[in-house]
Amino acid sequence: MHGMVRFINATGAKAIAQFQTIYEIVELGYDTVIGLFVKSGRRRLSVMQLVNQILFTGVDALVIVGIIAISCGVTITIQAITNMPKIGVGEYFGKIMVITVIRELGPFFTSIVVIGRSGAALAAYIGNMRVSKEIAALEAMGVNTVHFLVVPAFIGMSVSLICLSVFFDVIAIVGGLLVAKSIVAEVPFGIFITEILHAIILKDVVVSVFKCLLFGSIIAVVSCYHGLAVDNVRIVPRAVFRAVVGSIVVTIVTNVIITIGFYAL
Amino acid sequence: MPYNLRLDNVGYGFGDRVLFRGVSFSVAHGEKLVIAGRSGSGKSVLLEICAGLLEPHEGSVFINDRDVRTIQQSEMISIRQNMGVVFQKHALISNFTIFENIALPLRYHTSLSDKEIGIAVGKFLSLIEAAPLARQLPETLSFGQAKLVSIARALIMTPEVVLMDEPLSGLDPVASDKAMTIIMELADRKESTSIIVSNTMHLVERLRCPVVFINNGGISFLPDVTINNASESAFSLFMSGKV
Repeated sequence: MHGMVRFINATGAKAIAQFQTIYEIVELGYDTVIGLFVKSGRRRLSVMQLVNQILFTGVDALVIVGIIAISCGVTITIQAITNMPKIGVGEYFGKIMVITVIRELGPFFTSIVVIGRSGAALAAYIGNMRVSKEIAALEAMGVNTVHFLVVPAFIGMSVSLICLSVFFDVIAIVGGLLVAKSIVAEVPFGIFITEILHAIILKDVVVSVFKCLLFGSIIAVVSCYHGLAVDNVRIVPRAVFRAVVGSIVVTIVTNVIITIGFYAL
Repeated sequence: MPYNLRLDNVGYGFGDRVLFRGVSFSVAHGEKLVIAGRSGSGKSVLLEICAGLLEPHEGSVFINDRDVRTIQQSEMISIRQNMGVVFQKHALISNFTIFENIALPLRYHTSLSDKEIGIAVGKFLSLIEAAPLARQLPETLSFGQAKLVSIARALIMTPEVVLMDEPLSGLDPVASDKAMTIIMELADRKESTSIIVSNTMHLVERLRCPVVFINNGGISFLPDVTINNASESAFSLFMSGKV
């Protein structure tokens, strides 16, 4: 009986702690959105941070995103080209590419890359800043750490994700077709590209961009939260782990909600 | 902007370990105070509590007669614009150059042009003989060099309130003398309020100010400390290394 009570107490305490964490992350997200509209006197510093964030998150990730995009593109293209005609749905190739690559895989895979590279790096960087008293120094100088650290990450990651997702889509589709053409010689490249372009509707582009904006915001806020929550150097690896796992879970759940909201309802 | 600080029955600890409790003292506008004590006694923690960066576990901290817990963030930012803090381990922003570290408060709080910021930062870089290091990152500096840069960053806005944690530690004799000159110039300004953590007797004597001595979890407030008086006091014995 005692053990059961202790178990219930421990579970309850963990649940409360988890809700507290979620509440604090939402609060940080709210402060960050408000910080987007703060007066421009502080923008000079934030612009420097923003440029660094875009370079690291976006530009430096192009190679790995390109590799993943080509791999996905080739796989999907070959599977589609070789199997769809067999079941009589070959004419839907363009639509399938739009649905899989542009609507889903582009935003999702690029967000996974950004979580693994930038989200983890951001949580570690801010965690180390906390340990080395750099955060305390910023606070002592009257610098708002949300404006200085979180807002540039919020904007930088969202902008980078949109650009990376577009890059992913182009490389996956074009690259996938080119590689597939070299393997399966009958691929009518021009016809497939035309089919894909005809299959894209404005809603697909808008939803894809909206997903990237949301995913980038989530990754930035969740990663910054866990970095800021560090209080000693031993916690930094745990903060990185929590930032990555938390970002992945929230991104996946958000993706499902958006997909249902825009395409199923 | 006038500044006065009052600590009322303040206590702090880590888990079961109590660093200090029942700490009460006040620092009025224009006054100086030194905090001294053994390593690990909580001097840095007490300084951060005075700066409003740490919330005490017991008691209250009042800045300008207002409990810091009730001060709005925008008002605290305003107070901090007029405050310079030097941390024990410099706390320079690791991915900013030395120039950008010193310029940070000016870029954030003022609308000075890049040229004006360059002139202001240049003066401090010359003062601490760090001009050749302007474009380097903090990781390339020695501890003493980084300490001098952090002092420059704390003073770039000409604050009326300065809190320094062991400003002379890690400095060679020449740099130490330079830092001492800067501290004494500050101390001589009538409107300047200074709280300095230091176990350096000659700094304590030159400042000629009260000392808060943290000892065995409590404090002794010593209004007048010189090497000749209270020779048997716990503080004096500590400073002479006899405890």
